[in-house]
Amino acid sequence: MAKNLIYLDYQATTPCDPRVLEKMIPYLCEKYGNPHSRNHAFGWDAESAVESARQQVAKIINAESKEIIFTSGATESNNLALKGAAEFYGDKKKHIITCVTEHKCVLDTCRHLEQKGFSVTYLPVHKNGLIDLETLKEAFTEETLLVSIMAVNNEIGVIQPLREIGALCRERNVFFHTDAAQAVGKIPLDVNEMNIDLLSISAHKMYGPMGIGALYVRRNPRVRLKAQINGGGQERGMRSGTLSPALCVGLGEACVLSQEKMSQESARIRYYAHLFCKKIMEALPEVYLNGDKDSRVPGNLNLSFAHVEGEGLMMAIKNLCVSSGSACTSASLEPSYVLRALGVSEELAHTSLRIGIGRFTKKEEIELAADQIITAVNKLRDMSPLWEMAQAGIDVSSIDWASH
Amino acid sequence: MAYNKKVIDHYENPRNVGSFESSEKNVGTGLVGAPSCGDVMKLQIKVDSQGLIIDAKFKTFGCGSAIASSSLVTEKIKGKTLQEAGSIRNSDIANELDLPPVKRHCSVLAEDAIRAAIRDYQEKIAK
Amino acid sequence: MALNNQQKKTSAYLDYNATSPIRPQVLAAMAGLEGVPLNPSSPHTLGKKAKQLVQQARTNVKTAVGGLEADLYFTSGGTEANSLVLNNEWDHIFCSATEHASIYQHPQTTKIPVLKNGIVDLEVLKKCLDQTKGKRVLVSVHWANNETGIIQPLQEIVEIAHHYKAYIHTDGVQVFGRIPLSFDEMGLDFLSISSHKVGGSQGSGAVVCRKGLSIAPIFHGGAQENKVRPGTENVRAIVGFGEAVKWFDFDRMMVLEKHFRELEDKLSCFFSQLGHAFFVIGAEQKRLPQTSCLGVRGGSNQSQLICLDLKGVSASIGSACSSGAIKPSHVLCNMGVQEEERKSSIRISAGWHTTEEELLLFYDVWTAFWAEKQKDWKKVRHGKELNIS
Repeated sequence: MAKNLIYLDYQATTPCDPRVLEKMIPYLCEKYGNPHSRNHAFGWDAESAVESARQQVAKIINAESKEIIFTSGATESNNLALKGAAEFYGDKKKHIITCVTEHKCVLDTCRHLEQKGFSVTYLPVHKNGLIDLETLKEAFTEETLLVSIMAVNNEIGVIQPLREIGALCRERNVFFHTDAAQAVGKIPLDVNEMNIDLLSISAHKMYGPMGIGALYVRRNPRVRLKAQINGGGQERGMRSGTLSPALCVGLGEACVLSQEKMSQESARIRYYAHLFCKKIMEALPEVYLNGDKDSRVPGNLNLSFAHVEGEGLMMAIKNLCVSSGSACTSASLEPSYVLRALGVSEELAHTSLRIGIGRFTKKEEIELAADQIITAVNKLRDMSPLWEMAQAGIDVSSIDWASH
Repeated sequence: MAYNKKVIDHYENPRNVGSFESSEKNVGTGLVGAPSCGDVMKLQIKVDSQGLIIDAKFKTFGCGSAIASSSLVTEKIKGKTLQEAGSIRNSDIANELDLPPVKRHCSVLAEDAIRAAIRDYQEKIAK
Repeated sequence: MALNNQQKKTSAYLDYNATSPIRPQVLAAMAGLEGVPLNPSSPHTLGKKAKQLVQQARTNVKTAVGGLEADLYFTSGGTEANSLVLNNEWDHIFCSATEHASIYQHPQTTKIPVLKNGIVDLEVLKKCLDQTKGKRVLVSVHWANNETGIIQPLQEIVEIAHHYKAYIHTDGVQVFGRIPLSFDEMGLDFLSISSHKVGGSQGSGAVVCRKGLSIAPIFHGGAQENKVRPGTENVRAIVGFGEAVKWFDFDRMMVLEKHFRELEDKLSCFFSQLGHAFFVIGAEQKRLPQTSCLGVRGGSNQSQLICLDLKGVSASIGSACSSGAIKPSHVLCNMGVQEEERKSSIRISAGWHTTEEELLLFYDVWTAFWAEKQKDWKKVRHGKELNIS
């Protein structure tokens, strides 16, 4: 990595674990082969590597390997799950339930399905970012085909009550899809105990390679999907295209490593997150943690630094790789829709940073990052007219701002 | 998107940060933007009896370009007459800082801030 | 096995039309990024660097297809690139009867027959386009076929399509890197290409799209690739793609072509001496420099491939993409190739790393196989004769 940079953006993407890479290299260098070539040793070798990777992926969510479909990533998995099910069952059931804080690709897919004649209920969230189970219960109709609720939110790291959602869905014979891109390898997942029917996985969010993900598709009771990419009929006909053995092997190994180290790794990250928060909160007043305090993954700290604009703050901490809002939307100037959905005011939403702590984060980096953020926030608050007003006891919201 | 050197310089070493007592008679204050939009600029000018801007200060809540735009403006208007200062256009600021299209609104805000400060001063004098 | 004593190489990979080994330069370019988290949508230094890398690769690939004027969207591969174009809202899609499965099996396509020589029947195409005038029509004809290497008269097809105000897409996966392309000059509307057939890594492909044409996404969410292909970009594979195209070497392809045609001649000579009917599919046609679909009438391609594989030669039959049981190739069927030839044809395809020795190894192993068989046949025939007498 470039010198002096401290990477704290593990929700956007993670560096590929060197142990993962080591397993991939043979398939990149000497063992090239198209796993669909049935006629020579190169092809057979590639195929068996892909199949053992499929088993490794299945294991981390307690599924059968036949239930794993390789895709190009979580965006494709989410699209395939939602559109694939909607297009297959759409003539019988036409209602989908999701949540306002889902990843953009789930929301955009739902909007697309609305244009195609589906009705979609977007569940609100509490201030802590969690959905209300009673509201969910009321949202079900006879027409409900599928519920799609993400396991762990990418912006604020809260964990939704999957087990409870799964039970409600199963009682009603409704499919339950969960976008688990931010959850696999970080929290224990069991598709059977949690009654999950479809589950999306992304490799590059869990120290695997980019360009590959997976979709778990339950076989019993069977979930059927209409393919979104047509062709040679790979992946049980649900996803055509040449599989990359190297990428599959990478995802498989990433799953093995994450599963082995999950509790240990999560404890260390929790400690670092605690350390970081403590340092920040002791030095700076008016810093707020977004999302539930308990039901969360430890490696995601979404903090609002009142009266300091996020983008300006990022410029002051140039060697810290952090994100303001989700990586997908932070190029635009709008405040995060996730934070807005939590009821965080627009002003405060503009002041938030997402600090992602992960496998390769070191204690010194945490301390250095906290120090730099503290210095930067102090400097920018000294420069901020809003901070000045707040200190003088003027309520910023009482001013009639001419918005532009 | 890489920042222009001048933007970085103004951002890292902002000129004339601070506040004047806004109740003082020879001080004009402009407060523009909105917290919900992610930018607020406060620009203050101190004007002498000849109508010359003898000092300027700013505070800004916003991105690096917004901070740089306001810092640059304080430098530009010092020593100018109100009329000269009022004729500074946002394009002058944007060009000098080489702002990309998505950041041009920062220079618009800076122009608004000058005008608001001048208007505030003139209203005070008129009373 | 006396024929084998001159070989230097002990194995030959002759299945580049399925996938190609990665070029060392590509591996090096990708390895340089290992361990670096790169998401082009991230607002920080590394995110900006990632964005830059993707843009550089985009320029490289655009240059390689002669499409500097065009838009280029990265996808997960050739199959997705094809689906991306075909899944738009077309009233009609006309494709050739020898397309790759990702197009051939698309539910919306109407197949235009090909002539015996493998070339699309242009008269039928014109008739179809005439009947669908005023509709939103896509013509999708591959530039070259993956199994036979036969090259279509694409310039003519472009002109026909445009004459009838239809859009023209070509699956260029097999021509890319093998013959020079000129997307802009040809007047193409859409082109699909893939990285792993040309020395890049698997997991990356692209759609090239004439400027001003819009293309609806298959997947929704995120603003990546101008919303045409959302999802975090596979930065490493894209960088590899951008690197692979820098090493295209058409002079080498011409050398390979020479070797291939010489090989075909040599084989023809060999088999005529044995008294066997050797054939090359599309022998009279313009073909890819590094692909040959050939066989000996009456043989079984399955047993030949097993034999070749045991001797270290990776060849293929049909397309690699049909997983599951080996189905008869729709390509040869639709060309009207007789069953005897279909069942006995094998495909060899070469690429950037293929050496003349590998082709010689193939020659040695394959001719040895037939020489052995010849002995068996003779024995049988001889035995029968004895019986009769």
